[in-house]
Amino acid sequence: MRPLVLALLTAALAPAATLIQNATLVTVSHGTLEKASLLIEGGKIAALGPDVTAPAGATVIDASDHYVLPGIVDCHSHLAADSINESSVAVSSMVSMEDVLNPEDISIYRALAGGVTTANILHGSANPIGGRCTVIKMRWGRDAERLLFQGAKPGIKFALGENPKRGSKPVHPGSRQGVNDVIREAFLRAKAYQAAWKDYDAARQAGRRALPPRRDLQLEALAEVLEGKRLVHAHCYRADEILALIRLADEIGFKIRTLQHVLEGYKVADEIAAHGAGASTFSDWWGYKVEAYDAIPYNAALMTRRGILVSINSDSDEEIRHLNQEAAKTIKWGGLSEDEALALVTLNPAKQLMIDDRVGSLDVGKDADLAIWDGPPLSVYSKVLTTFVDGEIFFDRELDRQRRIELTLEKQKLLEELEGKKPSAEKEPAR
Amino acid sequence: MRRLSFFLLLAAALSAQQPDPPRVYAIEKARIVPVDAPTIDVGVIVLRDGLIEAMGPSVAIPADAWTIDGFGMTVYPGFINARSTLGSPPPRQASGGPLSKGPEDRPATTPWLRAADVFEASAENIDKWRAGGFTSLVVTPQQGIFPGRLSVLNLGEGKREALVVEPEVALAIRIPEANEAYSGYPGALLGRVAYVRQIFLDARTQQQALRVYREDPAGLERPPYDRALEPLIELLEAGKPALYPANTAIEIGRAARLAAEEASPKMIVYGAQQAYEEAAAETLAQRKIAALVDVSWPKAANDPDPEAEPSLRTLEFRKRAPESPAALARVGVPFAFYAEGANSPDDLLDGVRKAVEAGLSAQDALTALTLTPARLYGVDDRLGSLAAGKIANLVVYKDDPFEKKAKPEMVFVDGRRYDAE
Amino acid sequence: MMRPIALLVMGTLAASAQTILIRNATVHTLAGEAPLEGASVLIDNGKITGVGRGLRAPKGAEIIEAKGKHLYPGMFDAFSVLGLAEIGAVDVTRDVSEKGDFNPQLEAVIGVNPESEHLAVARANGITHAVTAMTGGVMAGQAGVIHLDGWTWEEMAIERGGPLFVEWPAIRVYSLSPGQSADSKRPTTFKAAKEKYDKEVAEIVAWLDGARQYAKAKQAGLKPGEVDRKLEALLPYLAGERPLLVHADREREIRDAVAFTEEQGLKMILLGGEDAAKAKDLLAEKSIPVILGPTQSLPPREDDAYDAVYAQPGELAAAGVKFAFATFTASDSRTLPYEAAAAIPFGLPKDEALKAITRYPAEILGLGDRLGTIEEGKIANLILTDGDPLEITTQIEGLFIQGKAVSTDNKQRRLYEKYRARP
Repeated sequence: MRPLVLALLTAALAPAATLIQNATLVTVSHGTLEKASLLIEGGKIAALGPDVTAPAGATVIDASDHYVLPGIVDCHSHLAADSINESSVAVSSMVSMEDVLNPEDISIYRALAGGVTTANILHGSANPIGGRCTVIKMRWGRDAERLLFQGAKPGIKFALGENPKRGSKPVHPGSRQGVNDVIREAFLRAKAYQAAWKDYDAARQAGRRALPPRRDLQLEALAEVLEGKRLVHAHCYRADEILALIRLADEIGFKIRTLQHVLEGYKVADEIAAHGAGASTFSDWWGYKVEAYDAIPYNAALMTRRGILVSINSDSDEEIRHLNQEAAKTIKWGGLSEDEALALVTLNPAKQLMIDDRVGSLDVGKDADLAIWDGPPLSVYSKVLTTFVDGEIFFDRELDRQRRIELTLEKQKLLEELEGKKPSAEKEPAR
Repeated sequence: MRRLSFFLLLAAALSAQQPDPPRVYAIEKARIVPVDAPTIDVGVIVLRDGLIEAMGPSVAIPADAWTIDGFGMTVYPGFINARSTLGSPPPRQASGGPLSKGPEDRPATTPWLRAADVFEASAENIDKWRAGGFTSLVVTPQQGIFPGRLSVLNLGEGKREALVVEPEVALAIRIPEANEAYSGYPGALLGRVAYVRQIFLDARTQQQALRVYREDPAGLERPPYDRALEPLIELLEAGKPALYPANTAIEIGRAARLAAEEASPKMIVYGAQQAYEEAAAETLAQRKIAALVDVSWPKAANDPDPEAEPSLRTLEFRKRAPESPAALARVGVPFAFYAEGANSPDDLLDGVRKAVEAGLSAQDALTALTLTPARLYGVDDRLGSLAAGKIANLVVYKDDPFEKKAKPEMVFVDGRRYDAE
Repeated sequence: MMRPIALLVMGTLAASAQTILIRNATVHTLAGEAPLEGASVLIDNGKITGVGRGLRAPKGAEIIEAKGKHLYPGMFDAFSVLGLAEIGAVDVTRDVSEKGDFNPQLEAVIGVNPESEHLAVARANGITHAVTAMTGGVMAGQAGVIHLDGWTWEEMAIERGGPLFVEWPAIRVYSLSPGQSADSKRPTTFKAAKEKYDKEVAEIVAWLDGARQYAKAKQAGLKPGEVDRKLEALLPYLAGERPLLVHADREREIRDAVAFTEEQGLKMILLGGEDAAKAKDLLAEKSIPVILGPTQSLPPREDDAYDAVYAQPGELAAAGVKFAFATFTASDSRTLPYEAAAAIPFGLPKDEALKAITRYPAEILGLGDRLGTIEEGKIANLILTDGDPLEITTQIEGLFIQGKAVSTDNKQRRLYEKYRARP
């Protein structure tokens, strides 16, 4: 797949400058600009406004009647991962999603077709403390290393509630209290680990002989959390477990960057806001398990009103394709404004991942990660026409049409070569 | 193929009184391809007591030599199967077994094992491989994540000790798809990679700790004894490689990342069937990682659903995998051959022939069957090429060995002659 | 008596009124003509008794002023487990499948829990009626068609014995992962998979033949001990009185199922139909209607177009295949309009999308004379909105089921209000 896609795209990619003109620019950060233009240079947004013109040699895209939205940021995804859960232990902070990224996952391409440009790739929820997470950009067709969002802080997954309780005993805890206790115990060990290294370094500085402590990948990640170098994304559902984790974090001295799912976040919104945790939730999923029975579609809106930084995530290779629509649901259920709703899938998740200096809104100097939509992005009637990452086109509906034809022809050729199959007349791509 | 039928007859007749085979051979009028030196169009090669004694266009034939007329034949170094499971106990896939609660429990980790110590191959199997032109196997243990160390064995005869050329040449690493004879950690790809990384780190720590401690143990708590780490420390200190699985381009990328980490030993990837992707081959070249290419090329399942059309990616992989050796050759990545699951040397050589059809030069194919594996495993001072003083492992062909159905005329292992029937 | 719309939303309306006039609305009848601006709809005794401009409220009628509002037929989720499943992960709260492969005698509807929270949640987004069905095995039971409101399942049931759910066998060739061994349930060759498939189809034939034999015997007179409830249950289907809901996704299986039901003289509705567009000409030719699986689904194969599932309804519509949308769930039933809307940017005309969640499912299920449009004589299942019901931001401001205004209040709304008021 990769060579084919590249073959199709490279010609069109990365011109020195691209001007998208006559568009409705939905900046998310500073309102919506009608009949405006946006200039991309060197992979960044170089200018935007009503009077921006194309420099010599720039590619000009006319986007009359079209909308430009910042690339959607999904704060919770498992796409492009060949392995999701290391469920064999209660604390799997030694494992890293970076080790298992699959840049050929077709879900990346499909997410681009939904206007998504960045996602937080999380470990699963089988353990109270799960694996290390990583933020990627949807650079479809590139290798795993090029998927990484350079400069994004690494993360780690925690999980509370039913999922981490489901594992086999005696490895896994059997109660919410036990889950909390596992996390506490792990951090106590991480503190001891920090102390051991401190002692060693001190001994070395003082010229004393000492044996090096072991580098422990499991505890190292937790030490990084204590040092603020790694963001905690905690899967949670019920208000009690959310509150208990907040209190534990306060006591131990680490911050929860985001509460994930957090379907009962609305019940302890003030406590979440006071801790400073963000909340990344579903739009309207509920009822699939007991801890999702009190989920309400007003959750995002209510938490927003209580001062929490909220995002809507997908946790699904399918849902990620229409996060714009999921955001729209918060207007219906809870009365957020259009800008507030759009921020839930762009600027807010970017802030939660601490990459809002780079992505999440249309602002000069930010990465040119954006999509052109054929209508208002909150409408069910709109679809993505073109998606840019770092100013390069990674999805385009017209190119997609070509890609399908190429793909069909290429497959026919290979089938003939490999299996002597005759091409069938019926294999024209749909539409 | 058997040893000289003459001796077999003798053996049958005289049983216990079997005479020793000739100690000295001279093949004359043959074309000789030493691989690491220019080809001798017509020359003599003299073998004595299991070693190559002399070789050249005009070498005198010793009086005590059993002379062979090599007219119309070509002498090559015997082929080396760079990763074989012949005679190696198969992995037990049974789930269950002891519970591993973390890397400290060292699950599926037996790096102290040497393939040579557990090698059990039937004479028939050894005969079969030898008859196909192979004179050495690099045998891998295959149970677990760190199954043990690979050994270089000659396909001769006698007790297994007699076959061993070098008992430990590389560390085997596997990333099994399921837990093998343990339960618990690591239970997924995520954990398996992290576990390998932790073991490398632990080996470095232990190496450093032991160094400090052995200098002067006074006042220091003794480093814990860890049987799993000692072979790794030896490996690191000897600069020997670890064999790490990486078949697809994605896996090659992952292996290269791991190899670049500070604690990692020198790594060789095995699999490498998608090295035809430029980026994959280039990554290996840049990071100076060698490859063992599995020439059991991917193919369609037996009797698949005719309407379940494979994806383009799958088809492309099937079509292009045999281009991988040529791609590696192009960017200068050293590579050797093996064939996962191969039951016969023909399986392996057919795979190599496909690679030649897909653009690999016969010269490069030959090197990958002889000199390169010897170099990768640090036994090129003995094996992999023809030169005076080296082990007399030879294969003699009338035809081009990469022609379809080509069979060797005779094979020498440790200077012993085996003829085609 | 006038009542402001907002009160409907708050759920304080007593549901006792028998006669209601909704007036000054834009009435989208979906019966063929353009929307009627400033029109009224009269509801009496559960039925629509008048549609048009200048309708007068009879004495004692409740009047609902709907100026600026839109009135639509209530939405029909054409395949769901509403009322049958409460909490996905808790088996004991689910009554959606029975042991054994052949249970044509089971009636889904008698397991509907009128207090299921999912009913109220679905109602809040304008779903007024639904097919609710058991699945699993081969013949899982008779699907029910229910109103999403009622004191008992009996009151909710529109059709007690609805279409029979049939899981059409599939030819599936497995590739085994390590540690798995091949067995008859997981054939690894096409030959073995085909044999398994043929056997499974033959088993369906045997049941149908058995039922035919039984019908003959019954004509001749059965003794009480000879009654076979399973075979008995198949009779209306054999007689073509009721349709089969045949669940199949792949083209080959769809074609087989169509040929099979034709040969057997059965009425078929295709359910699922992931690859239905590949058999669109056949479906159109044979007039086989389709209840489509969720549009917001991933394409089944890696090489499929990214919008393959989004585009399929448009292709089917263009080919003249009649279809309806469905959610296949309880908790997501409220997203029914978005399953329809998702097909519009990819080629489905908007009015077709709307009909495929109102009128077409009614017609497909043989209820076209009772449901699906706003016409005199139809059951008054209606929704009043502030706009286009396919748009997410549109609010459902009033809901009528069997002519009664039903509250859009629900557990979620109550929790929202409660915690919004947390000091």
